[in-house]
Amino acid sequence: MNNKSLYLLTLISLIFLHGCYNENNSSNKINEPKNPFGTNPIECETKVDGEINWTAIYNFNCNKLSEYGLFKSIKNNVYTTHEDITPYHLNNTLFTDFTRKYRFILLPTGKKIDYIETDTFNFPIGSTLIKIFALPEDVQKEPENILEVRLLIKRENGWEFLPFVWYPELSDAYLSVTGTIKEHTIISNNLPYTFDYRTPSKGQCSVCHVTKINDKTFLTPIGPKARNLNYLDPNSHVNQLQYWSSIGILTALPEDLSSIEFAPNWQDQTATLENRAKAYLDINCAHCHSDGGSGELSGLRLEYWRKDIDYKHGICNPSHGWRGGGFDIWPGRGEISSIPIRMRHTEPKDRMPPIGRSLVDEEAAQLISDWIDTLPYESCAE
Amino acid sequence: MKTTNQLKLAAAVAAGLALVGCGSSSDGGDDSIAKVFDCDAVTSVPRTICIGSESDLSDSKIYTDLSTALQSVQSGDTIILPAGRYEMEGGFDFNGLDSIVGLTIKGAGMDKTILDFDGTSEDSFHITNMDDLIMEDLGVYESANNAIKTKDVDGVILRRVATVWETDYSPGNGAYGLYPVLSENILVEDCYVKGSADAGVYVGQSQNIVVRGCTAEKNVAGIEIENSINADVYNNIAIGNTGGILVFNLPIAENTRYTKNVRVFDNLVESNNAPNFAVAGSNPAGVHIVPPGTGIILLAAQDVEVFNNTIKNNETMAMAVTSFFLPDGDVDNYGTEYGSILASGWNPLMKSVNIHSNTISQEKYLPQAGALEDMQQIVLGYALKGGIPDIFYDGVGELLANAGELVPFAQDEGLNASPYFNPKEFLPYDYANDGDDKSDAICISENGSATMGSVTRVDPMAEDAWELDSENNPTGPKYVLTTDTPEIFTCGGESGKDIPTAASKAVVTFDDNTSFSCGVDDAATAPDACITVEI
Repeated sequence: MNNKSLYLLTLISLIFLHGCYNENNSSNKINEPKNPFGTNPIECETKVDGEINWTAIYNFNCNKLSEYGLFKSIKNNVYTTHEDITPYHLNNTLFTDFTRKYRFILLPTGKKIDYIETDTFNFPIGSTLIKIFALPEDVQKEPENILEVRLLIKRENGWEFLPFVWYPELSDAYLSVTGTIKEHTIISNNLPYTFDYRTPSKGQCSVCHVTKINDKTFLTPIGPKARNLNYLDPNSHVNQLQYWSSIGILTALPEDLSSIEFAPNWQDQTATLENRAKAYLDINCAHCHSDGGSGELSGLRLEYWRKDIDYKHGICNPSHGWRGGGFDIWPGRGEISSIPIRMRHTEPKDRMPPIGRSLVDEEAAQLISDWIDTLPYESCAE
Repeated sequence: MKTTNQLKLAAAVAAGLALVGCGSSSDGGDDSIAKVFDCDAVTSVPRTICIGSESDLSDSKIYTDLSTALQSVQSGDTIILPAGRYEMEGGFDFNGLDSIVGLTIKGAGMDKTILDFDGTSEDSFHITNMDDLIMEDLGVYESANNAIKTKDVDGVILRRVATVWETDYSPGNGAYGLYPVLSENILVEDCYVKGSADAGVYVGQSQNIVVRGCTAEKNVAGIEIENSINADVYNNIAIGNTGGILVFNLPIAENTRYTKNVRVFDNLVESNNAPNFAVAGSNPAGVHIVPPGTGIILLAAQDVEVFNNTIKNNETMAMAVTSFFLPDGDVDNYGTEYGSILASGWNPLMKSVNIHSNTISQEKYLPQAGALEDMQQIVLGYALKGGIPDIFYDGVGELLANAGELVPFAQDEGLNASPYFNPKEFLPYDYANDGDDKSDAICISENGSATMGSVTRVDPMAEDAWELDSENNPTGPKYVLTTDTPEIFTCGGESGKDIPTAASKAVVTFDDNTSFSCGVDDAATAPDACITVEI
C-alpha cells in the first residue's frame, strides 16, 4: 500500500462523522445567507458537477460552500472531498471550545509550496486551505456535529478568509461575513457545559491572522509552519513533510529531516514539560504575541522557535493592559502567574485568548502552571 | 455665595447629569430613542454607505449592514448609522492592511444613535492599520471588552462619541472606553465615557494627542495618558471616578514611547471617590492600584505641566506625583527586572514637572490607600499625622537619584549600548535649564491654600533622609511623611531650581493638512492659556 492510499484511508475514516445536528436551542441567531459583496457572482452558480470551480477560487467569494466544488457531497454531517484534495495534520491546534478540526489542502495542478524554516510556508496563488469544525457531544467520545467550514484562499492580493456556516437543514453551508452565535452544551469529564459558540465574522479573522513583516501588514494562515507540519503518521510511519515533498507539492524541504524544527503535541507525555508548554503557547498565543500581531503591545513573544525563556516569553513581564496586573510568568509560582490565570478566565476582558473560546482548557492551563512551577524562583516584585 | 468657578461647575455637572439620563436611567432597553433613517447613499467615490433602510431598521439589519460595509471598505468611505438604539450580535473588526486612507463612521448623535453590545464577547470596534479614521455622533454601550480600540492608526478623531456601561461600579463592565493605542495624531473631543472597569479614555503608546471637552464619569480611571508623547488634556470633566486623570509611564518595552511632554489644564476634576472596581485576580498592579479618592496622578512621567485645573472634593488627595520607586522600591532588582525596558528608554523617575495655578479644595478627607502595600503604610502614617497633603509627592526617586544610588545604571555597559538609553537620566537631578537640557525640578506653586508634602526627603544629606540599621548604616529611604513642606517645591528666585521650560503644545495633524490644537482650531472655546502659548 502506498502513502497516498494510507492517507485516503485516513480521509475515509474522517468522512463518517457521527451524530446529528440538533436544532433544540431557543437562542439561535442565524442570519439569512446573503452575499455581502452584492449579488452572488454568476461564476459561483455555474459550476460543473464533480469539478473544482477554479474560477471562483481565484476570484470570487461565493454564497455557498458547494459552489467551489471542493466537496463531492456534503450532507447530514457526512462529506466526501474532491479527489485532488489532500488531508493534513498539525501537531498542535488552537483551542476553540473543544471543537475538532479536519484540515485539507488544495493546490492548483503543478503548483508547489515553498518550505520556510520558521514562518508560515509560502503558498502559491490558488492554494486553498479547508478547515472543517466539528463539535463533539462529549469531549471524551466520538460523536460530533459539524458547525462550520472555513476556507483560506491565497489570491493575487493576499489571503482571503471565508467562514461558512451550515444551513439548518445541513444541505450546504453559507458564507457568513457577520459571524454567528449559537448556544451549545458539551459534556467533558461527565459534566455538562453550556456556552455560546461563536463563528467569527470575516473581519474577526484578521485579529488572529494579521502579521507584519518588514513593516508591511498582511493576513496569513497560522498553522502551516514547519514545526506543526513536521508530523510522523503513526500508521504509515511517514513524515508528512516528506510525503508532501514526494507527491510534488512542497519544494526546498531540507534533506536532513532532523534539522527541521519540531513542536511536539502538547499532550505528548514523552516530550519535556517545557517543550509541551512552549508548543501550546505557540499555537494558542503566538499569532497575536509576535511582532506585528494583535497582542504585540504586551511585549510577549511566544513563538516556539525562541530558545530563551526570558522577559519576552513572559518572565516577570508585567501583564500590561490587564486590570488584574501581575506578571505573565512569575517563575516558580504558576498559581499567581497571569498566563494560566487568564487561561482560566472566561470574561472577554480577562480571558486569554480574548476571542475563539468561551470555555476553559483546564488541562492546558494546568500544564502551563506546572511548567512555571518548575522554573527557578525569581522575585518579580517586592 | 457662588463664585464663577462654582457656577461653571454647576453647569458642568448639569450637563453631565443630562448625559447620564440618556443612558443609565433604564433597564437597558431604551426605546425612547426614535428610530430615524436619514441618509442618502452616494455610490461615487468617496462613497456614502447607509446602514439600514427606510423600510428596515431592525437590530439584525443594522448589525448585518454595518458588518457587511466593513468587509468592503474603500478609502474615503463614509458610513452613516440611523438614529435609534440597536442590539448588536457581535463586535466589529476592521483591518485596513495599510491600504485604507479615510473612513468615517457617523451616527445621528451620541445620545441618538446607540449600538448596544450587551451579550457580545469581544471588542465592539477594533480598527487597525489604516490612516484617518473618524468616528462621531455615536454611542457604544455595554461592550464586553473594549468599546472602541484603534491600533496602528495614524489620524484618529473620536468626536461626540459616548462609551457607556450603565451599571455603576460593576466589575462586570468592560475594559477601556475610548482606546487608541500604538497610534498617532489622535483627537478625542466632546465625548462621554461612563462606567469602564478600567479607563474611560485611555490613550497609550501613542503620540500627538488632544483630549478635550470630554466628560469621564464613574470609571476606575477617568482619563489616562500612558506611555505617550505630546498630549494636551484640557476642558474635560472627570467626575465620580476612582482616579480622575492619570498620566502614567509604565515599564513596557514594546515601542520606545515613554511619557513625555504632557499638559493637563483647565479641567474640572471632582469627587473622584468611587471604589476601585477593577478587580481581577489577586495581583495588585495596573489600574487596580489607583487609590480611590485621587484627583490627578502623575507616575514616572517627564515634562508635565498641570495648571488652571479645578480639583475638588477628591477625598484621598487632589494630586499624587510619584516615581516608579514608590510602587516598586527594590532598586537592586531593577537591572534584572527592567533591564530590557531601561535599555529601550524607560525612566522610572518623575522629572521636569510644573504644577501651578490650580484651584484645589476639599470638603472632607476619607483617605484610602488602594491595593499597593507601601501606600497602605503611607496612608496609615499620614492618618496619624492628621492627613495626607493635597499634593502628594513620593520623593523616593529624587532622593535615590540625588544620593547617587542610580549611578550604576548610568555606568552600565549593556544599557549604554542601547541608542535609546540616556545615562544622564540616572545622575543626581540637575535643576538648571541649560541648553536643551531642561531643569529636572518638581515645581509646585500658586495652588491657593493647597498643602504639599513628601513621603521622603529629596536631599540625601538631610539628617532624617535614611532608615538606619543598628550600626547607623543607611538601609533605604526613610518615610518621613511631611504634611506641608512647600519649600522643597519652590522654584525660581533664590531657590536654586529653575522652573522647567514649559511643555510644548500638542498638535494633531489629520489627513496631512488639518491641524487640531488648543487655540488653533478651537479659538472660541479654548482656555486663555492656549491663545498665548507659542507652538
